Formats: sequence, structure tokens, C-alpha cells
Amino acid sequence: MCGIAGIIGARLPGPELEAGTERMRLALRNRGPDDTGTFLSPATGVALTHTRLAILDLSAAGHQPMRSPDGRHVIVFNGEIYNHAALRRGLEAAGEQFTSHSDTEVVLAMYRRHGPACVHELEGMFAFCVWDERERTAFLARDPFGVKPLYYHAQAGRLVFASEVRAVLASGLVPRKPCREAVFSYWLFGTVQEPLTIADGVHCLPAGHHLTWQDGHARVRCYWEPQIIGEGIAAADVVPATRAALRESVSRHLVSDVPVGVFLSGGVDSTCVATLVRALGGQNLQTFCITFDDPAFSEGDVAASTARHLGTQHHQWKMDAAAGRALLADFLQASDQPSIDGFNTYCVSRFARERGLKVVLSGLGGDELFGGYGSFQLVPKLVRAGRWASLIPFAPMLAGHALEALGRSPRMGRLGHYLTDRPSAAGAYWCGRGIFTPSEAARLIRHFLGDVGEAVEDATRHFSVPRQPTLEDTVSYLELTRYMRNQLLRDSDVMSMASGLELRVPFVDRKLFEVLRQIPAAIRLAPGKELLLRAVPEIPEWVALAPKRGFAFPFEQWIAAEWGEVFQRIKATSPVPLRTWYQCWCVHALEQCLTRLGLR
Amino acid sequence: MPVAPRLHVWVPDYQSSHGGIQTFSRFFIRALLDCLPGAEIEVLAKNDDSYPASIAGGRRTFRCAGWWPMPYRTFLFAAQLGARAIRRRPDAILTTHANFAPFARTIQAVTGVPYGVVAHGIEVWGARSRGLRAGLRGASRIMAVSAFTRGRLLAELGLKPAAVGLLPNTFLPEQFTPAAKPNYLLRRYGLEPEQPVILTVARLAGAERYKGYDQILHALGPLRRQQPRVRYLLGGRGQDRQRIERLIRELNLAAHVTLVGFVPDHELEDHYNLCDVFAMPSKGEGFGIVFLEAMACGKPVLAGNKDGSVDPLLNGQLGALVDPDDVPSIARELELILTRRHPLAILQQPEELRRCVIAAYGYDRFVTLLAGQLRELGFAPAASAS
Repeated sequence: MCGIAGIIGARLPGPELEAGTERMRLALRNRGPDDTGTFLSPATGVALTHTRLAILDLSAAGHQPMRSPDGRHVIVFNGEIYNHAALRRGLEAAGEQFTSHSDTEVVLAMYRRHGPACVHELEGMFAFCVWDERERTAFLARDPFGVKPLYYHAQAGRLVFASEVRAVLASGLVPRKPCREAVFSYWLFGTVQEPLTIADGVHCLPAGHHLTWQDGHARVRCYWEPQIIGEGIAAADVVPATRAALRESVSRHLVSDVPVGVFLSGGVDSTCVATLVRALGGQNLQTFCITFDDPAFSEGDVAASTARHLGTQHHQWKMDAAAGRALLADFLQASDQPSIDGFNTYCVSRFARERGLKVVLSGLGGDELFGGYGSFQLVPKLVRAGRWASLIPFAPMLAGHALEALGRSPRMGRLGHYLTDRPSAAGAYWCGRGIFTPSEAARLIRHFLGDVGEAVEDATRHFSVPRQPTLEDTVSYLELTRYMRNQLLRDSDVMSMASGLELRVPFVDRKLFEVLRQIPAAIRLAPGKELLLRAVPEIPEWVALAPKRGFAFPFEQWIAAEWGEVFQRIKATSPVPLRTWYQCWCVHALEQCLTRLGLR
Repeated sequence: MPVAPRLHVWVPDYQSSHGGIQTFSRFFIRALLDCLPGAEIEVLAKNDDSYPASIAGGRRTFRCAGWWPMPYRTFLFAAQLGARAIRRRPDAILTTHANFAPFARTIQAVTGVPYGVVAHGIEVWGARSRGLRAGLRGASRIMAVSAFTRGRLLAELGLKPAAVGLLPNTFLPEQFTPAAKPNYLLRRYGLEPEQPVILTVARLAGAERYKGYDQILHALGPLRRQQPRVRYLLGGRGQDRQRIERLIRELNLAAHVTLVGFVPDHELEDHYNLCDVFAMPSKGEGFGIVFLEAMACGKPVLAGNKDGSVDPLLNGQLGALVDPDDVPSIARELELILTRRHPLAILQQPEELRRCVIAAYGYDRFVTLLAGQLRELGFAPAASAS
């Protein structure tokens, strides 16, 4: 797990190329405290740089950028390949020789042997670039679910890429301008939707895609996407198949040359991960939890009971408002793109790193796969109700406009907007997950950036949702590809790397998904995560029977005290009423981001 | 006709399902935007329930009715089509499925708006419904996807040849390129790289048995004596699967057949590259986009000679055509292709095969042909589309 960056095809004098690369490397230094390296080839206009957090093969043999034995290929790699040992054995049997134990060398050998198709063989999380000196081509790839980020700018025959947007901008080769469409999507959802980024001209390589750069042109292709099938596993086999797939995934995610811990809240997902780690024989397991004075937020007692039950070495950090407030400024500084989330991951990552851990497993993804969110009930209800309501001509539209104009809460406003349009799953999903309505977003964007532009006006409606077997499957698809991908995974990566910690997510695993997608929605997404609880019956009942709470912080109280004046100013100048703390925070986070990245 | 015409395009699906007509509809709309960049285009899709970003914005709108429960959907969609047409008075209605033709004829009677219909295959061959026949006869322009379909329409409906044009299916060459057999698929299906592989991708529905996978299963009997390691990969899902599994057991072919299930779009190219021959001796194909895609990957194809499949194979110039009911002939042709002894030289020349199929059916050619059809309807396509 590291930071990578590069410039390809830049017609720059050597010193300028080197300086641009150095700036990118420095922008990524927090991602890799253990080592750094740079490959420079001014003759071809290519520079690759890398900051390393050593997890596999801690020796200097894992140094990057890494060259192939014949010198033709150079790789920079970020991530972990959990099946690297099996791939290595296959490659060795085919005559390959290795000089290190790192997975990077395996990825390089796989690319040399299989070309772009190598991505199908890699199990894990990854973002990498391979430069082919002979063919003068670059190949970039990102893992199927987008656990690891990769941003790029391809223009004027050159390609600039990095693990974070700020590093792409640090190259000095990309004009610093905000992307209106991205800002619009941020107002709607509280996070920028890929492939957009907050910086105009900088794109996010979508999850499950690869990019080939040749002769100054970039071609992006999809190699995998989460397609739910809803059939293929007999009812009697569902629970054992789910358990086996979960065990295998957790087992894969334990591959490491350093100790692996677990983020343990009081929820089902993290308890499931910790339980399976213990069931797989994980000794001296360390678990981490943050607790609060406020019992409305604290899950510390539940987590502590679970830790005792599992026999883990449990670490709890009781945070108070003062400690929280002290970290908020650092948190904002660590952010890459603006987000209304991520603080919880930032705090617990920092805590785990201070306790000496470099790798931690998280239960992220369990809600999306097993129907843990309220959206699995809300969205189908909204769609079905909307269908029937629209049988009465003009009624939903009139009610919608009235609600949007007069509703006293953001939720009512979104519901109103939803009613004014056709009742689609995408619209209902936004209604549940959104922050501002499109008309509010348009007013905000005019306030911040000037005119909106016609093309971005109603992005709530204009996102494609491939047809899934059921409406509930559609919600699962949306949660996996919108909320999880654009918010949870992105925030988790940036916020864990800010402390030099590798966060692994066993639920977000292609092989696990390819088993689960064959289970009908009625079983897989049954309320209360019934399937997960049946597959892992060791989960203690005080967790299984507890109501879902999520990993929440008493954020509202903290920021109200810390940023009271700032929020007053934001509210006073905002062109739309800001009724909740998260709407205020949303505006504040964007302002901070635009300033930090020099986008205005 | 105005310089910036107003068009309504009626499609059964835009992105809500996978299939030949859906793929055609997407290309049709994309090419329409290329041909008439200034046009006001309103796409109305019956079964979609989300909005594609590619159509949003400017003078383009997308409406869909897929959220309605099936029993009411047809009626409500028709009401929507009618209301939009009466209110907006487009210069023409174009539909990519002939089932919409009778309603387009009604709209024409009420509003005078002319309409064009795309005719694919079985939905128009031997049409008995009086409404459908009248809908086709009343069209200002019929665009048949194959010469085979065009010939049948002329013969069965007594239409004037000038009223029925040709607009064959297309594909994107950059999405289907030749490559080595993908290792991950070799591993997934337990294949050796040099093992001969036959591939069919089709919907496994009882109503689509005309695709000819039964005949290939029967042909495997004699073929495996010549090619003991041959493997037949049958991709697709549907309710016919259990019957196929029974047939495989009855023919004792378990070691030679793999039912690979649904092949997602992003794996389609890799599956073509995995095979040594793409075979679909169909009897009811309107055209067969899969043949184009497989040939673009440089793969030899085998198709039936009694339906629209003859068009993508250029009447046998680009691939092997067989009598789809003649199992020994299918086995013989497959054997010749797999052993690279087939007399049709292009089957052993993947690059040339790719070049020819792009020249005949690439997207640029599709745009040119659509521009010609639009001219026949009285529109003036952009010069770049000609």
C-alpha cells in the first residue's frame, strides 16, 4: 500500500520533468513513510515515482519503481495482491525468476506474460502503472471495486497520473480549475461521483477499468463490473457457500509480513471479520475501537464484550470533544477531495498506527452486500409508491413542488424533488442519500463558481443503472457503485493512508461477490443481515440482536463548538438555507478543498 | 424538411437488457445524433427505468416507462407515445421495433406524422397480424437489417423495392480486437491453450432454440472422434438450460461441453478470443451481431444458410455457411475449421478477416447507410455522415 505517480509523454527538459515528479512525490509522502523512489527517462518524457509503505517483503528488494530483468518494463504499484504466492508459483513453473518476495514483482511478471488480461488474475486491491520502454506504451489499471484510487489527466499527448488528485495537480502540468459537473455532483451526494474529480481535466480511472496510453492517446476500457445474477446456488447450499466464501476472503486478506489488526465496532460486519480471523487461527489479534462519553454514539461496551469473547488484545480510545476538535484541522488537511464523511476512519486509523499497527481489516462493504442499509427498504417503497401516485395526473408533481418549496427539512425537499420526476430507482436512491436538491445545487454552484452550465443541471436523473434482477438488487448495485465506491472507499483510502496505515476490506472482494451475486435477493438481502448471521453463527447475540447504529461520531456537537463562527458566516452567505450540520459541513469542506488545492 | 428537424425515436429497450435489437437501438440513436447533430431528438424507451447520460442535455430528451408494472406498461407507454406525438408534432417517428409500427400508423392517421420502421427478423417474417402488416405497409420507410429480411418483406408484403432500404447491424471495432486466449478463462473452464474450443453465445430460452446449439451438441458426437479434446462452450442463461443439461447427459458429452452461464459484456471479447470457432447455425436470425464481433476478433465463424446470418458472413465470403439442419455437415465444417483445413482461406487469416468485417459493417459504414435512409425520408444529414 503506497502512493504512486507519474508523467508519461511530457516533452519537458530533464530538470523540469524531475521537478514535477518530485512535487508529486512530496504530495504523496504521507502514503509511504518507509521508502521512496523515482524513475526518470527524459529522452522519452517519462517519470514514475513511488512512496512505499512496506507490508510484503520489507527488504530493499521491494523498492519501487521496479524494472523487469531485461529493463524493458517499469512498474509503480499501490495495493496488495493476496494471491501473489500462487501466481508466483505458476510463473516460476513457467520459467520466471524472482529476486524479491514482493507482490509488485509478481504483478510485473504477470503483465509481461499476459498483457492487460493480467488484471483478471489479480486477487486484491490495486492501482498500478507499467511503462513499456520498447513499445512506448503505458498501462494503468484499478481493482474491480475501486478500493485503491487512481487519478489521471490525459491531454496534449501526455498523461499525468497519481494516487491522489492533489498529486496530479502538484505536477504543475494541469491547469488548476474546479470541475463544475463534479461540484454539482458533490452538492447532490456529498461526494464527487467518479469518473469526475473536483479538478477540471483530472479524471478518476473508474473501478474495474484499465487505461492504455499509446502515441499520445489514452484508451479506457472496462474489464469487470458488479453484475448481480440472482440465481445459480441452490437454496440448501446458500449458507455453506456464503460461509466458505467469507472465510476464504478473510483468509486472503490476512496475507502480510507484518501483524494484522481489526477495526472492531459494535456492529455485525466488523464482528464478523474479527470472528472469522479468530476462527482461522489468528493469534494475538489486536482490535481497535473508539468510544465516547455520549452513550448515544458509543459502542465501546459492545465492542469490549466482543473482544473479551474472542480473546483479542483490545484497544479503546475514549474520545472527548476536545480531542475530536483537536484533530479536525488535521483531518481537513489530510483530505484530498471534499467529503462529508471520513473523520471516523481518520481517527481510528491514527489510533491503530500509534499502537504500532500497519495493516487493519475493516467490515466496510457488509451493508452493501447483505442489505444492511435502510435504503434497501426505502428505495423500493419510494419507487412503488411513486408508480401508483403517478397514476393520478399532476398530483405527485404538484405535491412535489409544494414539498420542495415548503418542506422544512432537506429530506422533505429531496422527497419533493423526487415526486416531481418519474419514479426511478436512481431518483429514489438519491432521495435517500442526497444532500441538496438540484435546484439548491444550481444556486450554490452559481454562488461559488458562477454559472452552472446546461449539461450538469439534473444529474440526479442522468446516471445509468444497469437492469438488475430485482429492485432490491438495484439498490445493492447502487450502494456498491455509488456510496461505497465514491464515499466509503475513497475516504477510507485517504484517511488511513494519512496515518500510514493499510486498510483492508474483506467484504469488498471480487471472488466473494461472484459467489454472493448468485444468491436470490430475497435471501441475500433479507432484513437484519439474516444471511450473514446464519453464515457466521459465532457472532455473539449481543451484536446480532442489537439495532443497527453505524459508525457515528458526535460530530454535530464538536463542530458546532469549533466552527461556530465559520458556520454562522457560511449560513449567512449561503444562497440556500442550510438546515443541518452536514449541509454546513458540506459547504465548509468544499471551501476548504478549493482553497487547499488552489482551485480558485 | 427543416434544417433542425424534430424526431421521436421509439425503442423497446435502450440499456435495460442485452440483445440484438437493444444493441441495434443504441447504435441507431448514436448514429442519428451523428447524422443530424442539430436535430431535436426525443427517445422513448418502453422497458428502461433509468436515464442514460449519453442522451441527456441539449435538444435531446429521454423518456422511459420501465417502472410501470408489466400488465399496464404497454398501455401506458402507448399513451405516452401518443401524447408526446400529438403535443410535439415531430417531423418523423422512427422505431427500432416493428411491434410499434401499428401504433405509429395510428398516430400518422391522427397527426399526419410519417414514420420509419426498422425490421430485424422473426418479428416481421411471415407476419400474420393484420395490424403489423398494415403498420409495415404504411411506413414511409422500412429499414431492414439484412438483405434476407428485406427479401422476405418484399415477397410477403408485396412492397415496392424502393420502400425498403438496408441498414445492417454494426459494432465498435475497438471493443473487439484479436488477442491471445485469456489465461483467466482457460483456468476458469479448465482448458489447455491448444485445446480446440467452439463457442456459442445465445439466450437459452425455449423460444430461441432456433439458434442451433442443439445441432452443435449433436455434431459433437462425430466431431469428438476426430477431435477428442474438443470443448464446446455454450454461453447464456434461460429456462432451456435444464433441458440442455439432460441432452448433454443423454449424448454423453459432459466432458466436452461447458455451460458457462451469462457472459457479461465486459467478458464477451475475451470469450471470442478464447475460442477457435464461433458457431451458431441458426434458423431464425435476423442478422446476428455476434458474428461481426467474433470476426472482428479474427475468429472463424460458422452460421446457418437459411436466415439473416448470410448477411454478416457476406454470403459465405467471410465464414462457413451450412444447412442448419444438417448435423453431419456442421460436424464436417467444424472439423475443417478446427484443423485449419477449410477451403475458405480467410478463416485462417485473422487480420484480413477483421479488416473485411470492419470495412463492411464498421460503425462509420453504419452512419453512412443511416444517412442514406434519412435522405430517403426527406432529411438532410450532415455532410460528415455521408
